[in-house]
Amino acid sequence: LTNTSISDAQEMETIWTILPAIILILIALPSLRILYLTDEINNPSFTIKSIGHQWYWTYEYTDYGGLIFNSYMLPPLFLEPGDLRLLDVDNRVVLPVEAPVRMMITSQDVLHSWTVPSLGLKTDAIPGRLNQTTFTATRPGVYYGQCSEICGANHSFMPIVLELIP
Amino acid sequence: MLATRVFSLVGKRAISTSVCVRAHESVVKSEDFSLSAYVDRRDHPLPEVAHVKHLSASQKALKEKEKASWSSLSMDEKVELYRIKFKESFAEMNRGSNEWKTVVGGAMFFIGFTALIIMWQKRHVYGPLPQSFDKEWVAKQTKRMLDMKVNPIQGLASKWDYEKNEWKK
Repeated sequence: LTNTSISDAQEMETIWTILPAIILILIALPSLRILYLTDEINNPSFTIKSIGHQWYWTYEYTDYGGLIFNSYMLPPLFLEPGDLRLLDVDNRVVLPVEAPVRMMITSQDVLHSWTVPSLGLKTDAIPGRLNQTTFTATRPGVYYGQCSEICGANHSFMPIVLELIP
Repeated sequence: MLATRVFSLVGKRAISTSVCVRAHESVVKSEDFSLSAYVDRRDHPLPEVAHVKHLSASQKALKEKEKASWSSLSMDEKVELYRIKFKESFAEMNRGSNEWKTVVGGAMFFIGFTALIIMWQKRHVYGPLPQSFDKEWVAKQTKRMLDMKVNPIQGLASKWDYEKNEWKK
């Protein structure tokens, strides 16, 4: 049977709306403060620019001399047995371990996203805007990622490969 | 008067357009859905009208008997009075049905049919799998990933025993 006679509890309704809202604000403000604070403590050793195109990445190492190269996915016909299909590239991003690195990410045409999940990195590449992400890798190895913002026909075919050398 | 009697017997109030009826009924015609109706519902236990509108002679006599003391009513008479008021008892109106069998059967049938479509697709529509799904390729790939120590903390390389050169038990 339906209960039609319980209604109109204005005081309780007001309290259990306002009180949780206050509690949530008290949680959110310090949390946001900490979030922004963690962005500022870094001091990177060097800076690399990563520019997204349709459908490849360009990396620029311009701190000490000018090294600029493109990074295309290896087409399946060019793979050696044992290579990772859709993940391996012709030119990897080579970085040293234990060095704080600043990546400046942008795009030349449409939105892309520069991702390396095993290092906890994802930053959108937005045309006309420079986004920054910093990281310090502690383990040597090869780290893979894939473009994470739909950017056209070959969006799934522009991976990112980081090679961390000790 | 005859017209109203005929119409109320047949119950088709939609045809109450004759002037004769109009002159005796109210000016505004009542639609069917706005009149009180009988419903058998759990959450509306006392309907607005009785189930039986026009009592037979015996039923009228029973109603007269109801005005006296109820202890003089027999069980059958009480049930008859109930059935005048109500169409179905609560047990009857809440009865289950076998509809679920039809629904479940229909759903499983269509799921099976979908499986047939998928099998046909795999055979006649899709192309071959890429080279990298071959057993040898996967073996070389896995060896390479283990050499690279991919995800050594909780992922792939953490499941490999590097001393004994085999997967961890």
